[in-house]
Amino acid sequence: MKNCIRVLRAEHSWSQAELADRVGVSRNSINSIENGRFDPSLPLAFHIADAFGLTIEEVFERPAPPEKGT
Amino acid sequence: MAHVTFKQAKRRYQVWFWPLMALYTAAILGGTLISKQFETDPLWFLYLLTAATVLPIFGVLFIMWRYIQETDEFTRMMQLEAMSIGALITVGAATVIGFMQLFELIETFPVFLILPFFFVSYGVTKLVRGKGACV
Repeated sequence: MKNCIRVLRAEHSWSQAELADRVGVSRNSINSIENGRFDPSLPLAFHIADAFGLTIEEVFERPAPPEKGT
Repeated sequence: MAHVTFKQAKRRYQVWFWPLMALYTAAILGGTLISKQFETDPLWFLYLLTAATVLPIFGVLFIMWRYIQETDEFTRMMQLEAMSIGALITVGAATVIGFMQLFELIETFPVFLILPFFFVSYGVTKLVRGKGACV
């Protein structure tokens, strides 16, 4: 899932480790989410958005709906 | 279960892991030393030695389970994936060894080696996957 965590971190001057501490997860988790290798659960996505004082949709790009039929 | 952060979960794991490993080592080394005092090891001693060796291992298995429950979702996924692959490799190897024993291709195999084999498979899998999430 695409997101702008890297940009937001840069704006706040936070390292991945600092954001990880604020959210209560490992740095590897933040790294994987930031690079789109791991999609967070809804509660974790809320925690990440809360850390930046934003809504989920301001942090994460809404994924395209699954294709119907075929 | 109370919610804990990744760092708290990791600390709770490490606080117990090393003392349990020390107990395990002490049981192995102590048991070997004490065993030399007997001409023939008494049955009670062998039961005691088995318990002293196995209980710390059960402790480690318990704190691993607790860590998986408490850690963050990404680490949990990585751990469970590595454990699953490690378990599949171990079960596969045990099956091969079992059939080799059945067909008398090899002598008896020490069953207690299954656990270290699992831990090696699990550890190597984590390294190969290369995504961190270290316990």
